[in-house]
Amino acid sequence: MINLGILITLLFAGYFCGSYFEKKHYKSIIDREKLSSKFPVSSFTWKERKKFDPPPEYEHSKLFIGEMVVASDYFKTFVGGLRGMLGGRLKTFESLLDRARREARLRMIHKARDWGAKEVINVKIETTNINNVNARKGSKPIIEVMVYATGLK
Amino acid sequence: MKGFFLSITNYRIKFTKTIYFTLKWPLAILKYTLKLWEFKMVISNIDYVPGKEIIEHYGLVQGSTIRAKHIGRDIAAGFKNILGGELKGYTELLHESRREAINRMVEQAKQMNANAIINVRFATSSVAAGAAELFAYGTAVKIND
Repeated sequence: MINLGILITLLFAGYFCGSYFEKKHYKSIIDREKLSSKFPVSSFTWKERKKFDPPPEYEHSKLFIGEMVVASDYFKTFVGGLRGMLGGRLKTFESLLDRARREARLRMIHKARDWGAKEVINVKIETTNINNVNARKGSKPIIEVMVYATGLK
Repeated sequence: MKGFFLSITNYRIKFTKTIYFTLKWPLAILKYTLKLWEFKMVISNIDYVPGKEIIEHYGLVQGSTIRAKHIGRDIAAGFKNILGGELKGYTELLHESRREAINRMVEQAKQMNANAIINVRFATSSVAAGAAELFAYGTAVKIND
């Protein structure tokens, strides 16, 4: 009975705090994306970029990295465990990964703009679960997202 | 008499120790600044350095680090796994270790007398439970000024 009580309180705490943090985070992400919406970011390599006119002429280039480590809350992990039995789309984890990726991308862009870049090309994104190797049942995902690209000026 | 000599030697050891510890940190900072001063390598993600020509290829260079988790940070991570959100400690840790991997790659390129590293790629994988390997590789080249 006590175990059930602990589980229910953890689930409630995870659900309310997690959704609150997520809403807050999404709001800040959307605000910052609006500010940097006109900044050209592409996944072209230099060969492909050269084909577009006007032909770009830059003098400096530098590597920029943006990263974020995100942890899922208790509710999400619980729902994920249930879904693992039933199968189907995992909406809770989708939003988690989506906001981690957007945040990492925004950090990278912010660094590039601070340096004075006019354009960012060849964006690559990597995702890894850093918590443990075997995804055994009940393991809590801690996910690292890393975005790297070249800034040109 | 013996006691007198002993006290002198003890004093000496203490004195040298204090000098060593007071000089240790400033020396480390000086070393680091010198390292930064030397750091002129051009690193980029694309296979081209804008405004410059590639003269010579030296081949693949690579650097890697394996980092384990911190106990204090692990406890914080446990709390965060209930409430959800970003783990800032881990983000910083991984950022620092990635910089170290890049520095190792740069040192390898310096030994080859290279000027720039192009086409850099990164890879992360969890090797054992709670330890992550950060890996960076690229091509060392020489560019004209």
